[in-house]
Amino acid sequence: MSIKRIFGKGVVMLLIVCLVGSVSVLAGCGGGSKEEPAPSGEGEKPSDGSSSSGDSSAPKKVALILPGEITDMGWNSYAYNGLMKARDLYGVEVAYSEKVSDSDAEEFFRGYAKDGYDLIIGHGFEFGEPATKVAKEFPDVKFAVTSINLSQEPNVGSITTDNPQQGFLAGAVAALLSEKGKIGYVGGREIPPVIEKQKNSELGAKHVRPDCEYVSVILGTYDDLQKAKESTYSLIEQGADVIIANADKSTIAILEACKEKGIKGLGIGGEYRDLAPETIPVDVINDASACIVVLVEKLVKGEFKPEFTRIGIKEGAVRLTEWNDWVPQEVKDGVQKAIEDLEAGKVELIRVAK
Amino acid sequence: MGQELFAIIDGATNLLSAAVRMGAPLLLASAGLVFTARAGMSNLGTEGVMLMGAFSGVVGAYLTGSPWLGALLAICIGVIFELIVAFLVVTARANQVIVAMATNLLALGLTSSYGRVIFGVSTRPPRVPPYPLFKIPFLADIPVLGPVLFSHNALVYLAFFLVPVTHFILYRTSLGLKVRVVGEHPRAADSVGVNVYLVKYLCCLTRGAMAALAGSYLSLGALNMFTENMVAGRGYMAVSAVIFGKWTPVGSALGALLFGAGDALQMRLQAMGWGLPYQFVQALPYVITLVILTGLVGKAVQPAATGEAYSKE
Amino acid sequence: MTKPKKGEIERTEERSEGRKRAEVTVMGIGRRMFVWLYEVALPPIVAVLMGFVVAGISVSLMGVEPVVAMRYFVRGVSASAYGMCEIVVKALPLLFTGLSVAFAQRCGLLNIGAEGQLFIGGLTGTIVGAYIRGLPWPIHALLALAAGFVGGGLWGVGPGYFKVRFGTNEVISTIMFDYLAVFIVSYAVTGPLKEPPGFIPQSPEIAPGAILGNILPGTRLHAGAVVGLLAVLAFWLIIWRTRFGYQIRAVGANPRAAHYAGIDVGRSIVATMFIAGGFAGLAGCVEILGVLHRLREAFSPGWGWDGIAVALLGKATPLGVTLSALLMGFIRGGVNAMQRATGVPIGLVYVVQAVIIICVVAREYRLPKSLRSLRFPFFEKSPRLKESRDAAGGE
Repeated sequence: MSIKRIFGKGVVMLLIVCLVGSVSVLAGCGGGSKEEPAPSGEGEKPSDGSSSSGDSSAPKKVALILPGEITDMGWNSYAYNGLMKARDLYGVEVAYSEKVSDSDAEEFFRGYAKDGYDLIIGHGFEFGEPATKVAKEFPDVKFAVTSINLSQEPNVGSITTDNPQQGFLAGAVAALLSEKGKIGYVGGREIPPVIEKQKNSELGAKHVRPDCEYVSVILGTYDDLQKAKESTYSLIEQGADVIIANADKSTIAILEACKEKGIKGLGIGGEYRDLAPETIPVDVINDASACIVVLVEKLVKGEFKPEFTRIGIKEGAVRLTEWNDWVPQEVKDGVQKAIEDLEAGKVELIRVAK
Repeated sequence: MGQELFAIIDGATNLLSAAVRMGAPLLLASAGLVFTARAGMSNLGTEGVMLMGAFSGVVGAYLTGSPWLGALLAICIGVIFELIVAFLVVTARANQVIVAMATNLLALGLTSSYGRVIFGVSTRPPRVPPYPLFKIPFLADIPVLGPVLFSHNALVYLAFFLVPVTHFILYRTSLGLKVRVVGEHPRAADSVGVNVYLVKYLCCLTRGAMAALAGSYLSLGALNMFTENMVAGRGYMAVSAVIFGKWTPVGSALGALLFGAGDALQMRLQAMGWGLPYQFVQALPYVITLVILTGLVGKAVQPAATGEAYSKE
Repeated sequence: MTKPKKGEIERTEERSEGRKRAEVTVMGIGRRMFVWLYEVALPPIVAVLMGFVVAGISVSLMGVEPVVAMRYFVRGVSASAYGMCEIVVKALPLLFTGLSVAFAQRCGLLNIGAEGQLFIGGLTGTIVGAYIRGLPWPIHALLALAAGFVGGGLWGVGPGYFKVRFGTNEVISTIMFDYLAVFIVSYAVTGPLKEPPGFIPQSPEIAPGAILGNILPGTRLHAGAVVGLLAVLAFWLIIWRTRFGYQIRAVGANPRAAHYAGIDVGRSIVATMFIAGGFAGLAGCVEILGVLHRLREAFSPGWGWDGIAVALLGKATPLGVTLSALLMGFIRGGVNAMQRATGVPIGLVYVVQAVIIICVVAREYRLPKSLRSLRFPFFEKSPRLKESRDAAGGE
């Protein structure tokens, strides 16, 4: 009796849960009790891959580990696009994981390595240490990390786009376009790429226009779009009349704010020009996807070396898109001259990530 | 001299109007939160409901092409969401804080995983029509007050309008009395014939509608897109605003605007470039809040039956 | 109260008015176990099944075969010792934050601030762990842990003191303290603590003497697990075997009565917040000493918040918190494995967690009186342990 009393509700609950459960499993996968054999499935690895680790004829497998979500319209999106581009170009098999926290990174590297992936890319400086650690356990697997200089191990390489160059270009464009001679910069979090672009956009602005004033705001987050927008307003109130936006998904919010206030704004990163053709003069493209493509290309051609690569203006990873037609010719010329100065080595860029 | 004065007035106007824009979502949400808080319920799930509102607002506007239908969908989703919460919290008498945490997790999970099912993965967000800016004729031309109070989108006016309305309902109607009694002494309320469950359900649904609307202000008002986790802690700030306002509509509104002003001030200080680490400036609103809480607000007594589930037996 | 024998129990139950008292005082060891199973162990199992079902549906909506996804899930966490240890590694920070919230709850406080205390604990632990050099292994590690505990504890004392001194609601003040902690850590790693040669916003590496090393070769299980066990033990000892714990529980049950019984309520609250903060500080500290080995901005993916759910799911008992932390670690590990193989978005982990939590709380649904009065055996109220009753937190 007392047992019944104790278990009474539990039994009811269980019954309900089982009922709902089986109905929804039926509805969900149409397979009824197929779910059950799962726990014993430890031996059936080959069912979905991991067979390619040995023979060379099978397509290479590439895995990408991302710190954020692929819908962030910036850092992670471009890497994801790069991965897809590489898949289409080289026919590699790809996989990716999003929002991998620092604590879990090692597990992801090891998991992919165990599953027989040939190249595992950690997209961000924070993945440097887990990559080097796991790389020692899997000498046959290639590891790569972006936006950090790290290459000592026999199978760990690294690659980055030239952030300082982008910053410099953006700064030059902004300074030349500014009427009042005051430009603003909105950055996401205080991480090396953002800081490099911040420092070098100031450098670029002062290079083409020594009297140019420079104000900047660091948001401390990428998520908060309203904050991004309001921060842009505050820069505009300070008198900045060209804004450089570098904050992934917040970039669009920043450019939106510029458009509303009739101020010129340009984003560093992807193509934003068509969002507000009348206020965005040009895009400074930071082709982060090129990093991934380059890495995969090296892997496929068997040229992957434990080295650090920086791709910039020369490689086309940093470039300007076409100018919108209202931009005056002297601005274009000024920027062209700045690029020439840059390539001639007349400018010492501030490099944070050595 | 005159020019300086002008600049100061200009700066203050900008600051205040930014404060209103930043405070508006908190203000909207607090209009609902006041009721639930007064009925003795925990509000920590607001963050999740706001996120659902932000998401469904964009989905609605995306599917129909009208921000107002988006707002309607946001309200509906918010109400449905809160209906589940109310069932768990009121009928099933589950712990409110734990349900709130589950709500937040669920909203974060649903919006981020289904967002890409609906919108796909791209570097470009789906563009939807935003809430239009609506300048009130004549009033918007008043020097300082105009830009601060009368040049916003309709939701901001609604947020302000709701402050006296909630105050009136809470203190001048029998429904408001019921809400307050339920929060203070549900058994007494029950014994005089108040349907405690019904009152709590109604409060929950109100909160759902208002919080979802506040969320849609973020996605459709400040911007015309949804991104993951875009509420970014505003739900908790709204809860803080209500506690700050000692569970009164007017006080909560002041709290919401104060938080907005703190944020607006923070950005301007950073933009002026004083060379202070940005973290110090950004922490300012929170420090101000803490100082005010300790010094100004003093001992606040929350509704006596807060957090308790009521059962008739 | 005297202890009736077994036969008497059943008779007591016949009289409904005597029932409640009997439940609490008369429970034998066997029934205690039973009730414990029912109260603490069974719900997660039922809920996990439910979570699996919802996950299956969501996964199939995203175009992945649910059976395949589930296989990866289960394989990821159960196929090897490595996978199983991953559960523990993932559960550890949640265990500490869960203990933190549970401890505060015992005193009737809601510690929303575990996240902030975790950050500060990580910060102080890193300062001691990375900047003191040359100390031998166990001493340095213990020092760093102590620093983490004290750091988190002091960060918890703030809201506690504000509550006692100014009557500030601890929910709002802990939220503010959370934000401040995040800013402080962000400033520290971009400013004074930044690693000297590099320019990456992170602290220098923890000294070898302070690192909580691997304790099971081939896995990531580190000595922090031992610290976790000790923390669970300490929690139990303090709450149930000390005078202080008794005072805490008395304040939690009824502050006014405690006051009249001669307990210094204010002191109990502040002390509770110190220990609760300390537990949360250990979460950050152990994670850094054991896994991350250096401090970075925003290193916590929300463990402090998850800790609230962990504590409440575990009914604020040490064993319950341990189990629910392991449950969360299990989900996290499984979904990670699933994501690796199928690319299912990580948002799913939140959905599964939420469904599981909701299932566990929904279990406490009581049917309307009219139905129950049918005296249908299934629908009768289950006996509940005392601690689960006073575990209901308030805002």
